[in-house]
Amino acid sequence: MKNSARVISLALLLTLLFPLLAFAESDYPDALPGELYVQDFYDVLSEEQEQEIETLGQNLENATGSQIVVMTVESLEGQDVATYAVDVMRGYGIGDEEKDNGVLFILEMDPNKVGGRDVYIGVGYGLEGALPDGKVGRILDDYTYPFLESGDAPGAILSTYQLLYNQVATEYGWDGELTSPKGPSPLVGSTDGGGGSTIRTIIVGIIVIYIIVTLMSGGGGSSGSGRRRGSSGRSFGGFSGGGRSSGGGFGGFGGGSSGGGGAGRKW
Amino acid sequence: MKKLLVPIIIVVVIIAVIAGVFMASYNGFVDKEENVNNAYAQVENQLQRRMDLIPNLVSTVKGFAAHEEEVLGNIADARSKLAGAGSPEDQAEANDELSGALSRLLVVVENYPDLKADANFRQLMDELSGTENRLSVARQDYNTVVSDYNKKVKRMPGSIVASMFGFDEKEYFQSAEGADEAPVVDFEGDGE
Repeated sequence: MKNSARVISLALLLTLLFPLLAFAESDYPDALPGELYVQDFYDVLSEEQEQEIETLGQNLENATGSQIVVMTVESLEGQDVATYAVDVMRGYGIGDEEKDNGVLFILEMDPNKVGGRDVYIGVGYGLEGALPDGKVGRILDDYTYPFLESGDAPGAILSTYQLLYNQVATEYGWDGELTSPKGPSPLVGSTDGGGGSTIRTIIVGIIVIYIIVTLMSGGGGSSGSGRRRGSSGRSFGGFSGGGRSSGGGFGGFGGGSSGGGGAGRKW
Repeated sequence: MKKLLVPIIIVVVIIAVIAGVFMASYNGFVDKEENVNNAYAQVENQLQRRMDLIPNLVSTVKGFAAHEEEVLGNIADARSKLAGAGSPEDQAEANDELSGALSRLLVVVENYPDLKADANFRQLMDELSGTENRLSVARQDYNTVVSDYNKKVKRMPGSIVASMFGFDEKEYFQSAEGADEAPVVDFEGDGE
């Protein structure tokens, strides 16, 4: 009896998801647990370099609510990089949910790639004014390629990240000055937006902690038959969070979206 | 008298329930149709942006490769065809034609290193390929809401309301496979 109810609810879930599945989504990895601004799947960056970017990213988010993420993957497996970037930005939820002010910098690293590896900067709706495609292309030409050409991928990442950081900071009228990684920046361009994003970060943090705590407390008991109900309820809740269940699992991403802005190069 | 009252109440309740269901369904159609219209406006925005970029591109290319008249002429033709297209189907077709003409231009451009390295040209190509990416995102979003809407129009209880109030199926914005691949400028030709 219980099994048939499960089958029915599974079928129902599949029907609900069908419209999403009807249009193929890119195949990309779930975000690294515990990582936010550095999704270094190919392990290009050293520990210190990662830390440097995390600090920059955290400061920028505290001050402006914007999120810049760098992602290195071995191979896109032939997928169109622009579509891939949009799917990752929407799937992870990079940037603020209302402002859609995320940036995603993707590097494909596979040294044996025929026809050139992809490097791409995807820009959320909210930053298309500050980072129009033409400008993004120029950034790639001037701040990314010179490093890639000499085989210095970490240098390319740091240089590009710093420049994107400056561009976004300027857009929000913030001088981009680094503060101690702990407290929120006192140099907030518009007190309104900055304060709101800090509060939002705290709220998101509380929600994430709550989810983790419930998951952990429920996880132990789910083997007991008495907890069945609770566990199936949770899995439904997880899906409602976003198209990909990974959306809320690690916390930190703001739920931003992208409409396909950005530019790319082959290297 | 009392015997009549009970059936009358039952009938009234049934009618009220049916009316309620119809109204909810009707409102659902209104909402979904609005979603479709919004998504389509996004598609049209990007088509418009694409058309706006073409004259600039053509005049830049002319500065370097004036005698490539055929390629440039094809682009201009495809653009005016797109400007005149009405339905999503026509627009998709004209858009594919424009994409084809642009990719032929990219082939020609390979023979002009100066043009390829020109900052203005690179910027225009970035804007143009960005627009194509946005277009393909907008198109996918549009097709998703259309599919949602069309299912509602065709499925059973909704289909009655749909035919009563004239909610017709919407056209998908379909593109030939691969025609929407955005042209990519590579680093080569960069200050060689």
